[in-house]
Amino acid sequence: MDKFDFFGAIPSDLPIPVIPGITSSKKLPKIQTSQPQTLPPDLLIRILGYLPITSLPNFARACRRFKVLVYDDELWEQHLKVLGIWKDYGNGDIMNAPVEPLYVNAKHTVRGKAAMMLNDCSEFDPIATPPASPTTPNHTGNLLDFAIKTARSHKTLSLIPGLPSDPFSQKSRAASTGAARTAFKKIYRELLPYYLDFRHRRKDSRLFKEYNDPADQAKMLARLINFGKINITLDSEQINGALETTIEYFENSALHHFELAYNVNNTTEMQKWAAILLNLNGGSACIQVFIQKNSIFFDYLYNPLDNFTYGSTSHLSELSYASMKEFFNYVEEEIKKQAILINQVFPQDADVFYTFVERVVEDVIIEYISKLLEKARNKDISLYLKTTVAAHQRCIKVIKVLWQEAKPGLTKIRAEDLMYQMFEPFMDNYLKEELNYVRAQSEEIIEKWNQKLLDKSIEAQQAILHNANREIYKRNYLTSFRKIFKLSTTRSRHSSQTQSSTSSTPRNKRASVASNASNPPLSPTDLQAALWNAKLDKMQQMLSLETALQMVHVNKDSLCRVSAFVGYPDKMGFRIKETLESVFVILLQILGPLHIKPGFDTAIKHLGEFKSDPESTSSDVAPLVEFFELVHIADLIQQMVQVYYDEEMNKYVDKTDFLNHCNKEKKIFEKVLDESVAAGLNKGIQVLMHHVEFILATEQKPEEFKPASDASLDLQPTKACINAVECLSSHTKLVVGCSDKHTLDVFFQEIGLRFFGDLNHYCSFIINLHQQNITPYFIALKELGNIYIISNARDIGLFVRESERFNGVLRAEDVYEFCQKREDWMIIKKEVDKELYGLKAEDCTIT
Amino acid sequence: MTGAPEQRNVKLTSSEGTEFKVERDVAEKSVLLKNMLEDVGESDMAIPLPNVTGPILQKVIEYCIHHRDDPVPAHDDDTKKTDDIDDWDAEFCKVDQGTLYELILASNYLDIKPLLDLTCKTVANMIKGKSPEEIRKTFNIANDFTPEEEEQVRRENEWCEGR
Repeated sequence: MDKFDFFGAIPSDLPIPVIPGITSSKKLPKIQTSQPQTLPPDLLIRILGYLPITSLPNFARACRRFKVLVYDDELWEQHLKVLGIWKDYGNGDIMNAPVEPLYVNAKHTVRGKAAMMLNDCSEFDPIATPPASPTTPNHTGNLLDFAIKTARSHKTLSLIPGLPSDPFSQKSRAASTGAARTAFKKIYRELLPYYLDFRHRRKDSRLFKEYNDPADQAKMLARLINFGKINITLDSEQINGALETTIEYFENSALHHFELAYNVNNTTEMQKWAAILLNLNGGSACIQVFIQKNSIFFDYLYNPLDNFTYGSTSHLSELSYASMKEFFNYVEEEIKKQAILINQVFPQDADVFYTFVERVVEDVIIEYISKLLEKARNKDISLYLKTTVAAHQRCIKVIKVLWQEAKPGLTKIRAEDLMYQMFEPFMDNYLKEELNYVRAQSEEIIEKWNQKLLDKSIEAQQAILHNANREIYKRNYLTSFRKIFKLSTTRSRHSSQTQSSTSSTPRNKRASVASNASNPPLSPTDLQAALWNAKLDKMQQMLSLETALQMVHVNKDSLCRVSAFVGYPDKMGFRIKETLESVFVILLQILGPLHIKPGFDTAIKHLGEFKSDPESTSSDVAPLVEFFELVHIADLIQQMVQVYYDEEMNKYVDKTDFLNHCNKEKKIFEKVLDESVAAGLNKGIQVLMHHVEFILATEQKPEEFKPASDASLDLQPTKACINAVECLSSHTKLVVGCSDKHTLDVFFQEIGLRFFGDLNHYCSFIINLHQQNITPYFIALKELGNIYIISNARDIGLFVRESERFNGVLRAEDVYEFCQKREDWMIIKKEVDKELYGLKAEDCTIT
Repeated sequence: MTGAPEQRNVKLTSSEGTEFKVERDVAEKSVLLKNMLEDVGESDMAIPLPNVTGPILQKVIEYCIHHRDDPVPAHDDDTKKTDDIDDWDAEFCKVDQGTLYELILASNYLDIKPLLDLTCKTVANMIKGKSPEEIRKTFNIANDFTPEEEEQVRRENEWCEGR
C-alpha cells in the first residue's frame, strides 16, 4: 500500500464523488481530474445487491438518483432469482411474461394467511392494497397500473429543471416497470415476520404456532431458508443460523416419523413424511434412510465363495455358478419389490429408484462380483475369464430387470449406463488377462508341438496321397472344419458354459474320442474331424493342422468371451473392439512366425541339404515331396484361418477397411506364408533342376545327339530325357492345387525357362503346362531343331527367311547363327546365303 | 506453478503510457485480457489500456499477483454476504474512496470479477446501516428532495425498513 503514498495524502474518508457539479468545491488530485466522476448506475446497482434489504430505504432517501436505483427492476430481479422464482424473459419485459411463475412459491402457502398478511399492512403505496389472489387477472391489471404510474412519476422526475438527462434517468425510463419490486415486496412482507421471529425463538416460533400441518411447516421452512439467502437485515447471519438449527431439528423429527412408518411398513405414513422432507430440503436424508434400512445392504445372505465349493477342484471349468444365480435372482426380486414400494412412497421426480439401484449395484453386486473374481483369479486364469463373462451376462440380465420388469423402472439408456459404469472397473483387468491368456495358450500349443517334433524320430517317408484324392481330402476337411465351427459358435452363444467342451479340442485322436463320448451332441462332427486328423497326421512333418486347429479354437473361445462385452459405450466399447482384434491378431502372429515360418525353414533346409544320389534309382526328390506336402498343409491352415475370419471376425471388422489392424495383420500373415512358399519353391526349382541335370549327366550319352550316320534317324526321346521329364512331371503334379495360381505360374515359368534344351519331348511337356508366354519359345525351339535335319542347303536358306515360323522369338540373324553351327556349314554356306539374300553369281557381274 | 516454463510476459500500457510487464497467468485473471490474448496469440506488442491509470493498474496487478493461484470462480456463485472478506483483501481495500471507485471501474472494465465483487462489497459495507444524511455525506451529494418528497419515498419503502 505504501507504494501508493501518492494517494496517501487524501484522507480516507473523502466522499466518493458521484455528481460532478457538487464535487467542484474540493479540488481533487491531478490524477482523478481526467476520470469520470460518477459510478455508472449498473455498478451502483451491483453495490446495492450487496446491501441488506433493510438498508435500502435510507439509500433511496439520499437523493433522487439513488431512489431511481432502488426502484430499478434489475436489483429486485436479482433477489427474485435467489428465491428461485424469476426467469429471464429477455429485456426484462415482465409484462409479456406469464405472471404465474412469479408466484410459484407463493401458491404453496395457505391462501387465507397470505391474504391476512396483506390486509393488515397499512401502506402508502396504493397499488398493492387489494389482497387479491396472486393468479387472478385482476392482479395483472394492478401490475400494469403500477407500471404506468411509475413510468409517469419517473418522467416528472427527469423534467425537474436543472437536472440534465443523465445515465440514471435514462436507465429509469429504459426498462424498469417496478413489477419485480412489487413481486418481491409481496413475498418479503409475507415471509419477513416469520423470518425475523427466528431472532429469538426456535421451536416455539410464530411459524409453528400458525401452521399446524407439518407439511405446511416444511414448505414454509424451505421458503424461509431460501429467503435468508438474500441479505435481509444487518443480523441476517444469526437469523439464518437459528433457522438452520430449527430445520435440522425439524428434519430429524420428520425422519424419525418416517423411520417409524418404515419399520411397521406403513406406506401412507411413509409417503406423507417423505413428501414433507422432500419439500423441506430435497429429502436426501430421507432417501438415505430409506435405502439404508433395506436389509439387502447388511444381510449378506450369499457368499461368493459358495460358487467354488461345488464339486471337486479338479472340475473347476465345470462350475455351474448356481450360487451366483441364486444371488442374482434374490437381488432382482428385491429390486422389483422396491420399485413398487418406492413408487408408493416417493414422487417420480425424486428419482429414488435410481439412487436405490445405484446403491445396490455399488454395495451389493460389485462387492459380490469382485470377491468372486478375486477368488477365481487365485484359482485359475481360465476360470477367472469364464467367471467374468458369466458375471457380466448376469449383469446384463439385471439391466433388463431394471428397465423392463421393474415397474416403474428406469429408462433403458439409464439402466444400461448404470450397469456398464459399474462393470467397467473389472474390464481393465479382464481384457489384459484375456490377451495374456490367449497368447500363453497359443504359445503353449506351439511349444507342445515343437516338443513332439523333437521327441518323434522323423518317421519314414509316407506314401503320397494321390493328387485327386488330395483335392477331395482338402475340401472335406474344410467343410467339416466349417461345420464344427458354426456348431460351436451357435452353441457358445447359448451359454458360456458349453464353451469349455469345445475348448477341450482333441489333443490327439484318442483324447478327442474320449471327450466326445462324454459329450454326445458334439460327437458326429467332432469324430469326423478327428478321423481327418488321424489321416492328416501322416502329412504332418513340419506343420501341424492339429496345432493350428487347437489354436483357432483357443482363439475362438477367447473371442466369444470378449464378444460378450460388445455393446459397451464410449471408450470402453472401443477398447473391447480393439481387444477383439488383438485376440485375432495374436493367432496370426503366433501361427505365422512361430509355426509356419519355422516349419518352412526346416523344410527348406532339408531341401538345401539334398544331394542327388547316383545310387538312387527313384526319380523322386524326397525333400521336395516333403516340401510340397508342407505347402498343402500351409494352404489348408491358411484357408482355415480364412474361414475363421469370415465366420467370426466379419462381425467386428470391415473386410474392406485396409487400415484396420486386423486386416493388416492378416495380410502380413498371408505374406509370410506366401514368402515361405516362394522361398521354398525357389529352392525347390534349384534342387529339381539340379536333379534333372544330374539325371541327364548320368544317363545321357553323347552319341544320342550325334547318331551314327548309318543309324536310322529316330526322333524318339532319349532315355535320359524321358527320365528327366518323368521326374519333372511327377513333381509338378504334386504342386498343383497346393498354392495359388500365380505362385504356380511363376514356378512353371521358371522351370520352363531353364529348359530351353531338349526339344521335341520337352516341348510337348511344356505345352502340357499350358503356359501361354513360354509356349512360343518352345515351338520356336522345336522349329529351330529342324535346321539340323534339313539337308538341302536351299531349303535351309528358305527356312531361315521364314521368320514368322518363330513367331518373332528368334530373328533371322539368330537362326542364321544357329545354321553356322552345322557340321557341313562351309559346304552349304554359299547356297544358303544365296537363298537368304537373293544373291546369285550373276548379280555380282558388272555389265 | 502454471507448469509452462516458457511463460511469456505480457506488456500493458496505462492511460498515461506507462508500460507494465506481467506474467501471462497474472494478466489472464482479467477475462478481457485473457480473451484478447487468446485471440491475438503471442505478441510483443503492448496492450493499451486507455481507461486505466498507472497507479490503478499497479494496484490491480498487485491484486492479480496475490490471487494468481485462486481457482476460477464458479458461475452463479453470487453470495450476497459482505463479511467474507479476508485480511489481505480488507487491507488491500484500505484506500481512499477515489481509488476504491477507480478500482471498481477498472475491474469492471478489465472484467476481473473477484476484484469487482471485493470492491463493491467494500462500498456496500460503507453504506449499510447508515442514515440518509450519512449516506449523502459519504457520497458527497446534496439532498435534492423536498421534505414532502422525501417523506413519500420513506413511506413507499417503509415495508422493507429494518425492524
